[in-house]
Amino acid sequence: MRTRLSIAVALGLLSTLLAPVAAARTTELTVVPEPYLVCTTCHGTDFRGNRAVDAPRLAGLSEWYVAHQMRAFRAGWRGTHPEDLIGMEMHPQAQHLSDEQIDEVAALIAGIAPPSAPEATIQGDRAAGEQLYTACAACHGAAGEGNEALNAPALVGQNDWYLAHQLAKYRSGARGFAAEDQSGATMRAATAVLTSEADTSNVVAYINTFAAAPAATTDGETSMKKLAAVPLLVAATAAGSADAEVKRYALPGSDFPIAQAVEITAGTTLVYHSGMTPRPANPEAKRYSAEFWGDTEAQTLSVFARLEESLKTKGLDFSNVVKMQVFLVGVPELSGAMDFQGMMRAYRKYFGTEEQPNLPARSAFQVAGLAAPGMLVEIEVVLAR
Amino acid sequence: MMRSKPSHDPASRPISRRTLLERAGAVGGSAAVYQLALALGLTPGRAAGAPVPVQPLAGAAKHVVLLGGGLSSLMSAYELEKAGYRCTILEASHRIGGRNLTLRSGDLVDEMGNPQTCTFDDAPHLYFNAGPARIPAHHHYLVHYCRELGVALEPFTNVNYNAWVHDTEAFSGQAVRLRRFMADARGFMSELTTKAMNADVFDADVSADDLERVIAFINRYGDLDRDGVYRGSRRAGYQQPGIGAPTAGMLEPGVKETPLEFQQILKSSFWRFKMHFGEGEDQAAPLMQPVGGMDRIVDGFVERISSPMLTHAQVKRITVGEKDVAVVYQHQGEHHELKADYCFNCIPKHLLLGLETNFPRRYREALSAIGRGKLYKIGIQMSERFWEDENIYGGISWTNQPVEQLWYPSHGAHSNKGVVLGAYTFNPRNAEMFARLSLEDRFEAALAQGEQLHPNYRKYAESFVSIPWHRMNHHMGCTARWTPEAREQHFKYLQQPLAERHFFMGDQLSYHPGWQEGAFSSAHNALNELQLRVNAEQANA
Repeated sequence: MRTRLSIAVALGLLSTLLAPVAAARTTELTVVPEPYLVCTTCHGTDFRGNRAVDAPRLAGLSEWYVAHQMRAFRAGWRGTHPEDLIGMEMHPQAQHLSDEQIDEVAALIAGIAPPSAPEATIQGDRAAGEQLYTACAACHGAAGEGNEALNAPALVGQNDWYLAHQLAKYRSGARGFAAEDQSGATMRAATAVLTSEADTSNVVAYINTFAAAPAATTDGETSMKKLAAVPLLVAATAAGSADAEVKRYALPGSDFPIAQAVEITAGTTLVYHSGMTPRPANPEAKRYSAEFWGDTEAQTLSVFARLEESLKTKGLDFSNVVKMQVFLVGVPELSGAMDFQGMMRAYRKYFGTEEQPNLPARSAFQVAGLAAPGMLVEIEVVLAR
Repeated sequence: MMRSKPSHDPASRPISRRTLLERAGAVGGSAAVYQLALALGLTPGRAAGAPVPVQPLAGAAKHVVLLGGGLSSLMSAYELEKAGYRCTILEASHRIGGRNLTLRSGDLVDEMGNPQTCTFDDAPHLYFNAGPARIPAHHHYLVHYCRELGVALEPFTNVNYNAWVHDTEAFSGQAVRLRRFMADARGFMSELTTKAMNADVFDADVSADDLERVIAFINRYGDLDRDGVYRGSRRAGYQQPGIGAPTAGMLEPGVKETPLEFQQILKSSFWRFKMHFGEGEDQAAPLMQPVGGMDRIVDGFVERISSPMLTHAQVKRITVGEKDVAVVYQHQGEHHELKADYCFNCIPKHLLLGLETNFPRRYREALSAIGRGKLYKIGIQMSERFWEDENIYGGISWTNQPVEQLWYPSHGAHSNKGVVLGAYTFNPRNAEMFARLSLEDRFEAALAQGEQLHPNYRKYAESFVSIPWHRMNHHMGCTARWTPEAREQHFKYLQQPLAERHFFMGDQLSYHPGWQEGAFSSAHNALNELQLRVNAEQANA
């Protein structure tokens, strides 16, 4: 039977499908060779990390970086500083491993992709963090993708609390203290730009924006039925359903570039992208001034440019957008009303064009304010692949 | 209590328990009578401390998967089997029993990064209770199961007045006998109090007779002389002329020890906690231990449970569904999925958080709110029972050094060799410090600190095992740490089964974490909650 269910209906029926879903997903977990099963006592199922025992996520890290750090722990240039209490727990773990074992465990970990980004736990001023991140981007990449040639690991997808811990250790010298640890010494120098804990939180909060929102995050009152929804969607994609389809309903009698509705069939993966805010148009200008941020149109263009970069790292583009929410702050030039037309001028450059005709269902709102003073535009999107 | 006026309406008359039971039977059948009778405490045969039994299953057998092979799982499986449930226990480590761990010759100590093998001699009395070591006589469930499982008990000496009190900050670092410290501390405190009392502190509120009694009480409490002055006490022990000489006070009057300097007593930290430790709710006599090691209790359960108990079975995913709970675990290099009607889970909360689960955020937040205790013990095999030459049999010597406690075995008096506990700290900083040392350095630290109390300590030490519980594989923690806020917000919530199927339990979900009775109490609660669900299901069927 061909199943064409709207998302809402699919959610309702999930409970009956729960058991087969769980069974189907069993194959996705990685069988960890017995000698390395001990790692998962702390680092958790499939090395996804466990804050309760201060064990960071390893899944998603590059093979070269894992091997490099295991050697650092073994040799003692990491995890032996008396102030690095957590690192000291790893030192004995690595001491008994041979080179071959280190390479084996690094390959094992590199072969595991986490199903979703870790939950953000650190709040900060992302705009301020973005400023600070310009120093990091040179090695770690604009989207935190990492660069092996520069010994710079990927930052995207890491636990934010872990990143904050490590930045604090570099700042205090508890990490990067050994003569052999050249990239550690580079990091110690680099963290000099972080002059406070707030700076650390801000830059980590900005790094958080690289990753997609965690798919499995649920609120306190979520029923078990709803919880099952995420596994089903993931599983259905893995199965590669041939029925997957996105149907866009045009706005009747109008050429306004949004869809009236978008229908998604079961078997389509949805990606929820966090709200994106603009980069400063002129970082040299007085912080948070009108000149610093630019007008609504400029800010919207900046948001789309940033969004485009982020989507690219996930193998997505604007043609995948099925739903959009636009949040605008009022401007004095329009007596406190939002500059809807300014936003639209920028929007039309990305949606409803010859190259990119796909239109999302969209809503736009005027809001009292956004994360930073002077910020006028935030846009979040849902994408289907 | 006020009695209500007798009424002419027979329905509102106070009814006898017998009448109540008859009426309950008319409504709910014999099962209702039985339950009500249990509630009223009328049914004979239920020993003190015995848990309310799980009711025999009517209809199809139900399957319960128990995650973690700790005591709460063992007790639950034992009771559930008796009622006709099918059970499966999955344990990640190499052994069943959780933190109920007795180490003997050849046993593996599975510490993260530091696996050790116990090299004690192979003898029945040379064991080390690395986890729980005491059985307070009022821990009903624990004593009940010892009785039911045929686990022989013997007295455990906790407080020993002949043991030592050592403080680097007092008495020039010389160890003094516990009896001396106690008697002298009380004496001086009583003397001070008496002096203050005579200065009319009570004003007119106390009669002359009462005042006389209070003063007499304090005099006896501190063993003061007639003038209300402390001049030493026989309680502190007589001066012993030596091992070869007759015991002091037998053939001639004993000579009292000179009182310790009161200032030195005050300088010592012993009275801040340790002096009164043995009067604690769970520390006061009588205490017991199983003959042959605490894990006799584990053995007792294991012998009687016929359900599968898998070791080396590491749980990776728990999916709580509407109709079942699905558990994926790795065993012998393969993944297996097991579906059960219910899941009882005693995996330590901080490790549970690292598994893939579909727990709602609220549940995860509750689990995250419970802290992770850190605790360290070291056991040392001694070639001679030198403590017996110091008139010490069992009990604890205390020191302000990081090892904190030395325990002497309560069993095996006068036998060959013995295992001494050479360190026991639940101060997280000390526990972390020991855990970071190499095995050799841990041993050296224990010897260097132990010889402050027993000069030839090092000479007798043959082999050792060290257990930092917060670094033990599949534990990574000891006593769960609850803040009052976390108790308020999460304790009752976690006691309720998630989606009516997933029962979180263990000593970690009790007001007494770190005690076996806490584990049994929590399991008992889970069984009761399960019974309520099964009853409801059967009523709806």
